[in-house]
Amino acid sequence: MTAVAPSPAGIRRALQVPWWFVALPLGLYGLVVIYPSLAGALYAFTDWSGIGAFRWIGLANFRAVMIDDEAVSSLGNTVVLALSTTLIQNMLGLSLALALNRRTRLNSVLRPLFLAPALLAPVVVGVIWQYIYSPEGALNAILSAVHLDALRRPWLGLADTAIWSVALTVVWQFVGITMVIYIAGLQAIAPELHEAAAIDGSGALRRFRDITLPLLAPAITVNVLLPFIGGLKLFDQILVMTAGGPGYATQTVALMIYRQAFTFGAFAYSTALAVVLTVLVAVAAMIQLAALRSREMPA
Amino acid sequence: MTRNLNFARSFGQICLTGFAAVYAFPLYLIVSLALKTEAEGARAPFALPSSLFSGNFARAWQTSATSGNASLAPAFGNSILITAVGVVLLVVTGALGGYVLARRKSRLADWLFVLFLIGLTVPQQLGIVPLFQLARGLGLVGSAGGMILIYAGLLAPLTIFLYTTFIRALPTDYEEAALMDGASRLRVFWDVVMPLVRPVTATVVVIQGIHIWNDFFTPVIFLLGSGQQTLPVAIFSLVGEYATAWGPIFAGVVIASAPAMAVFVFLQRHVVRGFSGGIK
Repeated sequence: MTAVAPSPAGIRRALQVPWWFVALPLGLYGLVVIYPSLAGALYAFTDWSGIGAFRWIGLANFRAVMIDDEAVSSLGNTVVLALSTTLIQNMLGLSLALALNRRTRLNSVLRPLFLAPALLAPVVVGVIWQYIYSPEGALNAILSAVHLDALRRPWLGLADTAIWSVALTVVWQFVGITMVIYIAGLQAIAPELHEAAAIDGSGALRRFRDITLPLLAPAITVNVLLPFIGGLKLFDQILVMTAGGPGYATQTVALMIYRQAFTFGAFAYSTALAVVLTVLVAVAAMIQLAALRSREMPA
Repeated sequence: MTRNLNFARSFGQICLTGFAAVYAFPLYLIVSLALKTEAEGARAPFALPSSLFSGNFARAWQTSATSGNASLAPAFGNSILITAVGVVLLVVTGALGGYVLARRKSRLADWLFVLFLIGLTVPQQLGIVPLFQLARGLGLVGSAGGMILIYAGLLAPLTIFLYTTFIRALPTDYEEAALMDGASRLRVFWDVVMPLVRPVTATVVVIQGIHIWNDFFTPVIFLLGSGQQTLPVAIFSLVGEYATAWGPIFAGVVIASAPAMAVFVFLQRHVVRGFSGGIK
């Protein structure tokens, strides 16, 4: 009597990784992200006040967002901050990457120095720069020391300067990440390409435009996507440095959502704002991913 | 020609070093102000500290009589606890989940992977109110345990993504050999897969550890005023309490930042790889 040998396919099926391995992360993700996000998106179309029954009110919350000066200026500030920090961070980050790309002793000291602020809590960075920008703070003291007293001002207290002061703070913290991503991209470019082009008589600028920039495309995509989405969600630094002021000059959507929900209890309205924020983030992500995919296709 | 090039290069190095000095100046400023008395800080904010004054650190660390809120000692403990347990939970659940999603060749596995990916872009703000109500209903607001569970769900997408893509690229030979020897799937996971995914585990520990340590939005909603707050919230309270007494505030900043800086110094390679991982 011989045992029937199970087929190899049968063995493989019996030895499959069991589904329950994914149960815990999926369950936690479902409870913490999926269910609350779906519920939040639904509440945006209701008059829900946090307790008791609620009615469907269609797009009324979104119409209220559109005629609410605070919401409109928060949306404007958020987009301005996301765009400006992304732009400055990329120009500065790429310059630093090009300057620090070669392996020298000086560069091996400077690279981590530029990356260090990225490891600090954004709240902590906000506190540091709140001091620097304060009326009796470091920036004004330096201006006095070099006899530029005319430029002294409460940087975070004036509507004209507050938003740019915040933008600079964000760039200071995160430019190191942009830099290391560009360095990784630069180091993936074979030096032979530059050598061959140089032998063919291409100048440095031309080689940068024709070789470096096109081959950096994936790094550029990541370096635009990450700070832009991060910029759309700015909250910690704003709350610490300006609390959205003066007036609503530096109020962001994320800060307004927090206030509407947890200070004023306007739950339905806050979720409508959150839906607007989600759409902004999703559109940005889709544009970037489409750009990444089209560039990665072989021409 | 060569001499011109050398000159240009040294000139570039000097400019770069100058820029780096300006860039690093705020970091110098907080450490030096944390070590000065209030009088010295006001008189000579930019000079090196004349002596190493520790009073600011004592003030920031100890519980003040007026408000139990703005002391860093309990917050430091909470931050350590939430970060350490949170990261361990993320590694175990993320590696287990990523293992299934990488090895199962089925539509369900692909679909679940995409479901996790969606979580990479959904802003936390969208679900924050329903999540707060859910957590309050379960008695998880104001507790370290609640925060740990929230982070395990919130940060699952990136963790699952990293483990799944890494395990997909691993050969299955070792696992099959162990299975033929009669090991259970769980044993194979622990003894064969976990050692192979160590590079991802290092990235997850560093990146998610720093994320949890520095996060402000989640604890300000779930822990503020509970006496269980983490360091970023405690720093925020410290600013509220000391207003412009920058000495104790910056001492608090140094205390709160020291562990992340230590990780950076000792695990620099992993930190850089984690941050630049977006493009390999």
